[in-house]
Amino acid sequence: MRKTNRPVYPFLPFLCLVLILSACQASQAASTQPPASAQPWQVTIAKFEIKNSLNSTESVTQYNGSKIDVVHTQSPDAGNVYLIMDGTVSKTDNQSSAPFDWQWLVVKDASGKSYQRLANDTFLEQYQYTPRITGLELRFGENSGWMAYEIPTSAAAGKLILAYTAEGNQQEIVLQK
Amino acid sequence: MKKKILYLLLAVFVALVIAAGALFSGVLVMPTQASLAKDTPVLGYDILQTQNQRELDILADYAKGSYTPQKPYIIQDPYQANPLSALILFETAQPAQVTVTVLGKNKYATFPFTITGFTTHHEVPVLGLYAGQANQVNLGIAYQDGTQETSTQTLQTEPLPYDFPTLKVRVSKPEQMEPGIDLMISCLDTNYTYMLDAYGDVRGYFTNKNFGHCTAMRALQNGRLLATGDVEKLMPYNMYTLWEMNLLGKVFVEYEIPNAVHHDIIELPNGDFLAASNNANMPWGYTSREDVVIRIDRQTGAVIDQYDLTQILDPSRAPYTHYDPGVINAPNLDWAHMNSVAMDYTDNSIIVSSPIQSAVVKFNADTRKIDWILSSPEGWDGADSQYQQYLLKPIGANFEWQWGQHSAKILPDTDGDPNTIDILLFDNGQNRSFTQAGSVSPADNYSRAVIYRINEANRTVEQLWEYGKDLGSGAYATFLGNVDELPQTGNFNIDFGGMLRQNGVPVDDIVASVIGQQQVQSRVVEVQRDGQEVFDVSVTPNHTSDSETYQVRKMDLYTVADEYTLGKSQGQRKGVVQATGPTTYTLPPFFIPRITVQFSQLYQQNEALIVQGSFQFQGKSYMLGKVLFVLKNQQHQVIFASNSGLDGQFEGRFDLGTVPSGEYAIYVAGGVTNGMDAQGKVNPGYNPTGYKIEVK
Repeated sequence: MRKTNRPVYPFLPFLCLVLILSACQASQAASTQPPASAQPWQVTIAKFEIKNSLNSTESVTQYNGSKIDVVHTQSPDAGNVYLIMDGTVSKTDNQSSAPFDWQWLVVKDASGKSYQRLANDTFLEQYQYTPRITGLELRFGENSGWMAYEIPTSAAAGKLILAYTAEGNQQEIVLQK
Repeated sequence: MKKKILYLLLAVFVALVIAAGALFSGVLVMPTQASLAKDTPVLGYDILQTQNQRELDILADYAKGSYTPQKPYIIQDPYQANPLSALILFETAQPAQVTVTVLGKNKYATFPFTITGFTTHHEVPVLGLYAGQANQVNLGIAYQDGTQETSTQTLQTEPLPYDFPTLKVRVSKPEQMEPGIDLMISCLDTNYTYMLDAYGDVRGYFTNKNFGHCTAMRALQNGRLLATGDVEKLMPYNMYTLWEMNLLGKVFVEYEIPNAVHHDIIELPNGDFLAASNNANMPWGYTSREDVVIRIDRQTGAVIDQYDLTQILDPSRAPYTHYDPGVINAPNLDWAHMNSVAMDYTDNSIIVSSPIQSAVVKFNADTRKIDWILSSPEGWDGADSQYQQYLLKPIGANFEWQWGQHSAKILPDTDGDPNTIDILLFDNGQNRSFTQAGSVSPADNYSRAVIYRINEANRTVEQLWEYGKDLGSGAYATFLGNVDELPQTGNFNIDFGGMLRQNGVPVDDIVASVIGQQQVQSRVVEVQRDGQEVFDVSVTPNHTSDSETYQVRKMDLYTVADEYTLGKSQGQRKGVVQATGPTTYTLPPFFIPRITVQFSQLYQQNEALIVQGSFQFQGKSYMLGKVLFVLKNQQHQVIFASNSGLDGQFEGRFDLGTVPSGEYAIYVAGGVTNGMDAQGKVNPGYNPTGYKIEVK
């Protein structure tokens, strides 16, 4: 069979352009809304991370345009890890006057042992977990941001459940790893 | 073979034509339905509306329950502004008057507040909570029939932010101190404005680091706090707005000041404001800056008078200062850097401080004619010899001129002589010379508070009092700072505001410190007239390089401004909103992903798009640079030029009123490394920010 040497080269740019333009098209990110609930408060977790330690490098610009790097590190107690979650706490029952109290939002491990949110997780912002969810007693609205728990490394390896158990409010979220 | 080469050449040619066509057609930077769907919408925000809605939300939530003095409704940080504040709401069966007290360490750290009048519905402000503690808050309820009830509530607060500055109290003698709290006012957006009690404990702080930069905050006659707002016209402290607010963070009035306010603002007896401002060309024209005094009508917010220092002094007089190189004050000539204003009502004169000129100048408000200049005689020669007639002759012992001073103000008359006027100021001491050759090194320098007595008839000046010289270079503050005489005790509250340190050694490079190369520390001392310190706190950085204190101001923790009715006190906006129109700059339609932008502010307020943040060009920050923002859809392209700050910072308030309605993707362009306006050299090409805006 005779090789025809069809002039495909001139069409290559078209193909490239098509590919480029295709790459420019945005993909629709899937999003799920939390189910409606009659419970006063609804907790949703967008993502979570388990960290042995937190590290950040602060780049400080010098007057001459050069930079120096300042390294920051934050570690949990020995044998522990940080469980860092990006979540939203929403008042879903507008007839309720019950406030949201962080002491009832606990992480439970496979053995059923529970852990409270760190009393001081302000360090999160230093490691670019911003915004941190603020306010110790939430009264209404949507309250979003990062929060930190400290749990044993062994517990982190097993099943973890985030549970909110308050009067008239029962919710559990399995943290899928 | 030749044919193959020919085909290849043809392919290359066609490819080039298509690539050029695509590049110049703009199709690569044309937003599509899909890309717009993916972009993050810019949200609307108006602090006045947001706070009003917040109040309505609180009331709606409160209405769901039944609350008594023993079981009240408590909401901490009601305006999401001061985490160490709260509101307590409850009802009483009978009209009652409420006194609220956060239990402090002792009586000097406890600030009871009794709300005016008797009511059955109570909205009780709580200020002065300690951070990271279970605070005991006592409510005293006094009924009209003479019976009383008490209620104790526990308010647990969060710890201070990780980057809160470190405070070290050296001296605390509360019984000898002026009552109240010290408001520690920040200068840069990497530091907090906060409140200290007599023990140096933090009793409040504002989470919004974008407001009140490097400008005086003052208690007004109506009990409110006056501060600059959080929309910057030019970094780091020229602000478009003023706020009348309280310490919970509620804004009652927002004044729009087109030419911005910086450094100082005072309230006149009739309620009007006198402020340090700029000419109308700042910053877009290559003119000067920070050299205009404005008078603001309190009722309308309008600027009703202006006093241009370029018409009073010589802008070309150029002392040696560490505000140089001019980069810190680009793009305009900052020859005055006016940092305080005062009014002498006895002869309707204005007194201003220019730290760059190391001069305090009094001029008549009607004639603009200079009365006197408090300044070393150095450098007032040659073309400036015309000003020698206004210079004062020093008399008396131990006299020293001030250099790079801050916060010049008139003290109450103490000698009964109508010819004299006593001026209190903070003498930073920068260089202590007009020339570089004569300048004093920071290691040998000092800062001080000083009182001068000026005899306006004899044209003399005498030094009455000073404090700080003995502290030596340990308290030397190249820039920032203030001193106030305190009304009850006669003590002086002194802020050594901008102590630049490199490895603990005093230095003078303001620019290096502002961009984080060196530390900015500060120190606040309350001192009796005999020089005895009754309070002394040092402030050092924590996880930042920045712990300056622009000014310290002794204030009451509570005032009547903390009494208001939720939902019925929406803030007002006065004055003229100024926003930048589109530029005429024409961008090439290139997609070049060179610029990354981090926004610290990005929102739409009515017909304005507000942006603030920092950018990198090809992964690098630039000392000076500029970014353009391009609003683009299939039909329209509108380009706005932001203003520049140091180290890749930018800010802008863009007028959307000129933009045709529709949905726009926001692109970023520019990266000018030299030149400070839209006409400067702009690197070609632009790229999306990932945000979009709906213009109606």
